[in-house]
Amino acid sequence: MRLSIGNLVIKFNDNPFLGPIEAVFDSGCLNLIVGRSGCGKSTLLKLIAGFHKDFTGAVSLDEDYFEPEGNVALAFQNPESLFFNSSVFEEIAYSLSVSGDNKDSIKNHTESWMKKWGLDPELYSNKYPYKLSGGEKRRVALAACTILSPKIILLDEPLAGLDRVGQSDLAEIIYSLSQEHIVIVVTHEPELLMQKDSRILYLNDKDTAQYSSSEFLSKAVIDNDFYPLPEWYSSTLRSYAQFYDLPMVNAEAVAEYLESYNNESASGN
Amino acid sequence: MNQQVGIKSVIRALSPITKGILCIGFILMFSIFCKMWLVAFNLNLFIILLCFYLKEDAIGLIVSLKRIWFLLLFVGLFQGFVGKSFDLFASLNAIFKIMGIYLTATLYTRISTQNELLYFWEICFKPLKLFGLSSNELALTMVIAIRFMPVFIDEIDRIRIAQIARGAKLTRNSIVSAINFMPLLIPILTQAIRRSEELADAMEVRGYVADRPRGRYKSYKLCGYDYLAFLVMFITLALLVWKMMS
Repeated sequence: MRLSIGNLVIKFNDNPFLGPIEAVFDSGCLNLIVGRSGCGKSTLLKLIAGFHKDFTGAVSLDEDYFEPEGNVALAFQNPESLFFNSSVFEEIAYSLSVSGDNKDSIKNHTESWMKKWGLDPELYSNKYPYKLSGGEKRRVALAACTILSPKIILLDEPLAGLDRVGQSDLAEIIYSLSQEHIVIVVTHEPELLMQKDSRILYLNDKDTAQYSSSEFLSKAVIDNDFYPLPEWYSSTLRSYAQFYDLPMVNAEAVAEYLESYNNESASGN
Repeated sequence: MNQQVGIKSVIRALSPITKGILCIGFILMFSIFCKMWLVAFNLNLFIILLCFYLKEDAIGLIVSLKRIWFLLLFVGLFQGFVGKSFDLFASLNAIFKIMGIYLTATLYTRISTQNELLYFWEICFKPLKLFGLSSNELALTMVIAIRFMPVFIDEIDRIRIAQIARGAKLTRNSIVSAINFMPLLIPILTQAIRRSEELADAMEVRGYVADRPRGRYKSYKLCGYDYLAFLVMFITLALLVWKMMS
């Protein structure tokens, strides 16, 4: 599946705010949107979800007309804005119950989905969503949004406010979702989600463009003003930045990369 | 029921006391002194033209009437069929009276800030202090009740967005969607109460105690426009009374 946006200009009260944007978002890889606060990342997600109507340009799914309602799930930055039921179970099962499934299948499906998102049904089913911790709320919101398996899943800063373990657990689930759905994630920490095959749409005033993860990393390592990556990563790999196969931003991958590069250099000599 | 911000007009600069008295005065005129549909119609027209003249959002005010179209229709039909045959004039009179009360109240809440509403109703409730009731708390409760409706509507809108955001396909049939919405009314109320508790906590941690005496940041004084507004109201009232008596 491929969601394409062409010549898209986002407007507010008919005044152009961002664009033109050209981008494609595929299933099978993770699509990230990055940019400074207030640059229009969340608005772009809302536009794809059909909530922001003030724009020109085209949004198409597999080159066909794209109807957001029923095809898109959007998890807002604030998980509480998605809650309106009185228990975690009801919250997650809501979409299934309105789609007319029978009670048993709703129960089974919801419980298995809760387990997938790390929410033990026995522990969490009857809890009031607002009383959960920040990380748990986010899991509930994401589980509630994705249970109907819509074609397109839009996540607005899904890892914000979580500890490192929580972030890596969620990143793993999000990556697994991206194999079957078009997953588009707005984030301020692309390094936590980025994979070799990820696409990064970088929204900025000068040149909004879409990059492969290696292109993005290489540009950011060469020019820290382009996008600030962790200092240890940039300084370690600055001399390798001319290559487009830079490793992902984690210590293990960088160590492996350096080792293989040094081995290749040694065998070349 | 929500205050409209970003508009400057003479009517907004009036003292909260003037605004409150004008509102009550016009509501009384519509409810007691309008015995003919043409009078009620003219009073409605006066309010709308005044809004146009003062650069208030008159179109928005008229459009807001769609919220009570069913009530207007029901009252019109009910009033029309009271006699043996359908009385069109009685029906129109009832419709324009309800419309006038709605427009007056809507305009009043649109042009008044929270503090202005509180100030006026505190004065109104002051005599209740004789019975040991706190005028401030009563006024605050009333203002919160007035301002609660937009919050309630926002909450419904938030839930509609949350439903679509979950990939749910909402039905276009308004009756089915209303039935689907019924089970959500209790959670909406629960959340509204939860939000009000949070607001109460936020106010208390900033030092708000309802029954403590405190000063005002802004003092409200009557000026020339206030007296002019009273004059307009009393002339209108006198004309209505004269028309009713003659």
